[in-house]
Amino acid sequence: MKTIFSIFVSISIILGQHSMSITGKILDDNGDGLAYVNVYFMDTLEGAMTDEKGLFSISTSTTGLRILRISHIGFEQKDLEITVNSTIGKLSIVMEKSYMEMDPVSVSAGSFTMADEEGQTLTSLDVVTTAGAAADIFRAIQTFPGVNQVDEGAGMYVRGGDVSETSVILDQATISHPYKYESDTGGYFGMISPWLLSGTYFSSGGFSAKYGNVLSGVLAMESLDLPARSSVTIGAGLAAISAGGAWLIQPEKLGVQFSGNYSDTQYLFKVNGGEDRFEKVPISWDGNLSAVWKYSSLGQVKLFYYRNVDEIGVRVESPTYDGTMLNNNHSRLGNIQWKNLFSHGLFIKSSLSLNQFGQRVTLGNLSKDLDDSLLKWRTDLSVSMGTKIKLNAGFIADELITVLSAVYPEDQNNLHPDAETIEYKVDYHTRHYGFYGESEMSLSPKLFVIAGLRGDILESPNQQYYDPRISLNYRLSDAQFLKAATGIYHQYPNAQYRDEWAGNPELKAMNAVHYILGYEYKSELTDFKAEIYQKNYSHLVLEDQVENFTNDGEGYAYGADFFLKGTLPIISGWVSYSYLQSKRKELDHLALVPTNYDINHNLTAALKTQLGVMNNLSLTYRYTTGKPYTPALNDWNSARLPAMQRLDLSFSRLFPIGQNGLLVIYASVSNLLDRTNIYGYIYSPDYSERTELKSTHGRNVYFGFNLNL
Amino acid sequence: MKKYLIILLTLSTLLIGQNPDDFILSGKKKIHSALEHWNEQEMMNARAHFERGLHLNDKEWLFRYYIAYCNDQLVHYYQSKGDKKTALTYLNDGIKQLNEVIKLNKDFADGYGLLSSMYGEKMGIQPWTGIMFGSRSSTLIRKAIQLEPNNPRLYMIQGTSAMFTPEKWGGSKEEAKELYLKAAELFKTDNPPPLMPHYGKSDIYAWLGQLEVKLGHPDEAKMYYEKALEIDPNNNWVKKQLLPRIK
Repeated sequence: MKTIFSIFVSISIILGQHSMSITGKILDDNGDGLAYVNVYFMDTLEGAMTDEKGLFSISTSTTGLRILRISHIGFEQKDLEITVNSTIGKLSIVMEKSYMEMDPVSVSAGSFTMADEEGQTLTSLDVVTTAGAAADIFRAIQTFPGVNQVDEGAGMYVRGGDVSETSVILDQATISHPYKYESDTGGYFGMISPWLLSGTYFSSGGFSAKYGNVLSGVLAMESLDLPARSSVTIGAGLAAISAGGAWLIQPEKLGVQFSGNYSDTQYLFKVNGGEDRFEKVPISWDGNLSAVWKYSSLGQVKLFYYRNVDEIGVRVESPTYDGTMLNNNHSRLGNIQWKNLFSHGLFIKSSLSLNQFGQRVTLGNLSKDLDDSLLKWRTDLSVSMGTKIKLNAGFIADELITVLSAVYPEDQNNLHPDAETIEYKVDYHTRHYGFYGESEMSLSPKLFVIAGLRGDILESPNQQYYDPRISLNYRLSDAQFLKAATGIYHQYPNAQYRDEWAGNPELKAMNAVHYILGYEYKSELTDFKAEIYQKNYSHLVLEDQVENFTNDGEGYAYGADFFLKGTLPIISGWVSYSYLQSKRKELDHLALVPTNYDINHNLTAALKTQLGVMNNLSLTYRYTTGKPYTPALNDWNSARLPAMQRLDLSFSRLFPIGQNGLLVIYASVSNLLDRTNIYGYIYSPDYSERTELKSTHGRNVYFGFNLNL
Repeated sequence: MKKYLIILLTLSTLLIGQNPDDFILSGKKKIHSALEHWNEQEMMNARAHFERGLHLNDKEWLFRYYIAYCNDQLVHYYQSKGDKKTALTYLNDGIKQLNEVIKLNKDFADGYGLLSSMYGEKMGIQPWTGIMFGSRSSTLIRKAIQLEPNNPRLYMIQGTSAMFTPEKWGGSKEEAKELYLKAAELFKTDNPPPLMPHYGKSDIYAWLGQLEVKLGHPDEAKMYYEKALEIDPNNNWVKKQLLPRIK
C-alpha cells in the first residue's frame, strides 16, 4: 500500500508539473538560421523541427540531464547534454557541414579513386570506353595527368619516376610484375582486366604511410566481391577470345567467378599489316578464379588466383645485328584475404599472397633467365574514434627470392652473337618487414588531415627506415579544396643491384621527398584539379668501376598537372596536361642529365559522346614531347626524339537482352592519323650509325563483341 | 493490483510519449496530410518525426523506410522546382536508408520496391548512371515481387520503370500498361496491416493517366484521373497538376 501511495505521489508530481518549453535557434556556419532541422530528446520522442528562420520550440515535462539530438541532411549530427530545468534559457546551436559528404577522391593530394560509384573519377566502364586504352586499366590511367607515356606500352611512369617506382597492389597483395609482354619500359598491357575489379585507387604522389617500398606512384585495386547473380560472359575480337562466368552458389553468402582469355594476334596483323615485324606474333593466355565466402554480414574470406603466360618474338634491326628478340613470360598470383568488421568499429583485413614471375629473353648475344617470387603477409587495421578521427595501422612481412642468370653484351650497343659478353648471375634472397600507423582527422569541418609514420626493415643487409608523411585537405567552399602533402619515401634497389656478386650488397634504399600543393574544384558535373610538385631524390643507384654500384646517384623532378573532367549534354570526358622536368644522375648516366622518361609536355584529351542511348563514340588524342636519347658516347640524353602524336577512335553499341543480359559490339581505329612515331634509336658501338625504333602499328582496326547473360 | 498495472502502463506511456505503433501511425498521418495539400514543411516534419523514432530499435527498418518515403516525395517536389542538387541530396539519403532497410529486414518487399524506384529516379536525373544502377534496380524489383507476388505497389513501380525506360533499353509502354492494370486490379483487394505502407490506391490511376497522355490518348487519361479522384478526392497530385494539364 505504501508503494502504491508513493507511485501516486510521483505521478501527481509528473502530472502536476507544468510542461516546459525548450526554445532555441539552429544556425549554419555562416550564422544563418537553418530550416527543417530535427531537434529532439533521445530518451523520449519529444521533438520539433525548426521553422524557416531556424527557430524551434519543444515542450517537455521531463526535467534533469537529457540528451538533445540535432540532425539535418548534409550536416554533422549533434548530441548535446543539457540540463532541463526552469532556468534553462534560449539555446543557440551552430551546425557544421558534414565532412562525411566529402568525396574520398578529394581527400589527398595526387590521388584519384575509381569505383563503380557516381562522383568518382574513373569507373570500369570509363576504362573500357576510353579509345586507345584497349580496355586496359594502365592505359586508361595513362590518360591522367602525372603519368607520362614514353612509348606505345602501358608503362606507368609517374611524375618523373621510372616504371619500377610505381607499386601495383591487388587486394593487399603486391604484383611485382604487373605487365603482360613485360619489357624494360613496363609492358604492353596491364595484367589485370578491369572486369575483374570493383574499385581502383591511383596516386601520383604524396600517398599515405600505408604504402611502402615505393618512390613514385601507387595503383591499388580491389577485386570483385560476391556476384549479384549467376551469369555467363563470352567475348571474341580480332585477336582474342574470352569466356567467363559467375556462379552464385548461395545468395549473399557464397559465390565463384572465373574467366579465361586467349589472345593470338596473327589475324590482327594480317588485317592491319605489320606481321613481318614479328618472328612470333604476340600470343598470350590468362585465367582467373576467385571465390568469396561471406560467413556473416560483417566478415568474408576471398580467394583469388591468377595465371598468365605470354610469348612474343620481335624482329630487331640494329647496326650490329639483325635478329629476333624472343620473350616468354609467365606469372601467377595466389591470394587469400580475410576481412572482418568487429564491434566498436574495428575493421581488420589480412592477406597472404604468393606472386611468381618467370621470364626468358634472348636477342643476339643477350640472354636472360629470371625467376622472381614474392611471398607476402599483410594486415591492415582501422578503427573510428568518434566521428572525427580514424586510426589506421598495419604490418607487412615479405620474402623475396630472385634468381637471375643472364648473358649481357659487354658493349650494350653490340648485340652481335660473336661480340664480347658478360655473364651475370644473381641469387638473392631477403626478408622485409614494414609497419605503419596513421590518423585521419577531421580537425574542423573544413580541415581534414592524415598524418602517419611508416617503418621498414630489411633483413639482409640489415637496414631500417622511418618515413613520416602528412597530407592536408582544406575545404574553401562547397566545391573548392586546397590540398597539400609531403613525406619521405624509400624504395629498395632491384635485387640484381643488391646481389653479392654482381651488385653491391651494401646498397641502401633509394630516397625521395615529395612536396605537393593542389587545388580542386568539384561540382556534380565538373572536376578540375591543378597540382604543382617537387620531388628530390637521393641515394639513387649509380654504376661504379670498383663496387659495381653505389648510392651516389641523385636527382629531382618538378612539374605541374592539370585535369578537367566534365559532362556536357552530348559530350563527356576529360583533358589532362602535365608539365615535367626530371633530371637524374643514375646508373650509367654519371652526370645529372634529363632522365630517359623526361617528357616535358604531355597532353591528353579523352572524349566520349553518346549517339542515342545505346551508342558510344569515343576519341582519345595525345601529344607528348619526344623523350631524350643519347646521340654520342657519354653525352647522355642530350638530344630529343620528335614529338609523338596519336589519335584513337572507338565505337561501341549496346544491345540489352532480356532482363539482365547485355551484348556489346565494338570497333576501334587506333592511330587514325597513321603517324609513325619514333620511340628510340639503336646505335652502333661507336655511335656512327643508328636505326629507328618505330611504332609497331600504323593505323589499325580492331573489332569484337562481348556478351553477358 | 490491476489498477496498479494500469497506472504503471499510463506512466510509461507518459514517459515515452507514445508507444512505437502509435508513433508510426501518427507519422503516417503526417505524411498523408502533407500529401493532401502538398506542403514541403509538413513533409519535412513527417520525416523528422520518423527520424526521432529511429532508436526504437526493433522497428528501425520501418522508420528508415518511412524516412526514405518522405525523401522520395521531397525529391519529386525539388525536381519539379528544378532544384536538382537538393533533389539528389534527398535521393542519395533515401537510397542509403533503404539499403539499411533491406539489410535489417530481408523480407520487406516494399523496401526493395522503393529502393528500385529510387535508383530509377537517380538514373532519370543522372542518365549516365544507368549502366550501373539499371540492373540493380531491376534485380531489386524482381526480388520484391518474389517476396510478395500480390503487392500492387511493386507492379506500379515496375510499370513506371517500363514507361520511363527508353525502348532501346528494353522499356515498353505496352508492358507498362499491362503492369499498371495488374497493379490496379491487385489494389482492389490490397489491405496491408496498418503500420505497413499502403500508398498507391488512387495513384495507380494517375500513372495510367500519364501513360495514356504519352500514348496520345487524352480522353482515356482524363477518365483515369477522374477515377483516381473518385478513390481519393484529395489526391493533390492529380487535382492540382495532372488533370489541369489536359484541360
